[in-house]
Amino acid sequence: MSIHVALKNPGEKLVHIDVDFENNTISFIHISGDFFIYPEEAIEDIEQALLSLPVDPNIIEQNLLTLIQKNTIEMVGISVSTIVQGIQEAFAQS
Amino acid sequence: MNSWRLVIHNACAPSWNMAVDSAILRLAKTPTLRLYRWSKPAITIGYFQDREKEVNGELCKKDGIQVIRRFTGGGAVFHHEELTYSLVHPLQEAFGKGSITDSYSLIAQPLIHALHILGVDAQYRPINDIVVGNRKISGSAQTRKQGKLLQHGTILVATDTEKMLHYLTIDPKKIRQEGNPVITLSEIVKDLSKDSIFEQLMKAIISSFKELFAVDFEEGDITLQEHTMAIELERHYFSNEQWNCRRLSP
Repeated sequence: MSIHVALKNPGEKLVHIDVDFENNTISFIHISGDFFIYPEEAIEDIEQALLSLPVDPNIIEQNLLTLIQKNTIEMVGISVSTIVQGIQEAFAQS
Repeated sequence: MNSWRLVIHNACAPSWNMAVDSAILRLAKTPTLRLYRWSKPAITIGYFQDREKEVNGELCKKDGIQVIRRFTGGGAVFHHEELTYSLVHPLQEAFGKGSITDSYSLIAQPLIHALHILGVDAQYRPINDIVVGNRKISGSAQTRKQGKLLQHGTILVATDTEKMLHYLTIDPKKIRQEGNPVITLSEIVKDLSKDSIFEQLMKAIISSFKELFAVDFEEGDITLQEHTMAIELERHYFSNEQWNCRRLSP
């Protein structure tokens, strides 16, 4: 059963994060909401990149930033820091 | 002066409306502004949204409201008595400069100008809204593919906003103020009938795009290739429950 967190940070859209953990790593994650990501299909790459990562904000942030730079992904209404925050909040509830 | 194609479609089926926008994005050779309406009320949800989080599914089913996933991001929209626009333009000239948010602001300008022509004091509210006071009258969503952008959006004319709030699940985190978060043109322009508002709004949008972007319009319809592509896209995506229920790459 995944944990659900909804975040609405200033200047951003509503971001839902459904996430599950196993042995302090991310075993499932689904990110949804009314934000924009270009290209849209990159959401699958973002979710895939998060799988199996330890719940360490620095590691999660670095992995996401590397992916975004490598694949020229643009995010509007959602940010890496919001995704990291959502995972941290969910982990605290787990 | 640049020449753009102008496509005016009256009420079309919801899934067809989304399919035509997508076909134009894929195949259009010239910048295209499309203005259209909806043959019946429907809800579209953004590419990244989960239907069960955004929509009162039972009520929609009971009332026969189709829920369609767009290929653009953004939020859920109840389409009813509104004018919808879509613009396809290469990522060139002003449309290729600046950030994506800049292009939302750019495309909002002729819509705001058109609303001013109707005497409505509308303003752009980042990222993708146009508001009157604090109440939203227009929302837009943009995608970019194959060196082109497509932005489509609504202008609420006589939308039943009570029904809208019943069909859509609005997260408390999104509510900015007490009362109705949206406003329609019919609530503001009281001296015109609904049909007249549609007519005046359409004229004002066309003249505003002409003036602000220094373009001439050639009115036409979608091409045979676009029509054929739209049939395919409608079948594969917008009338396909699998697409509408969950994310798939188009």
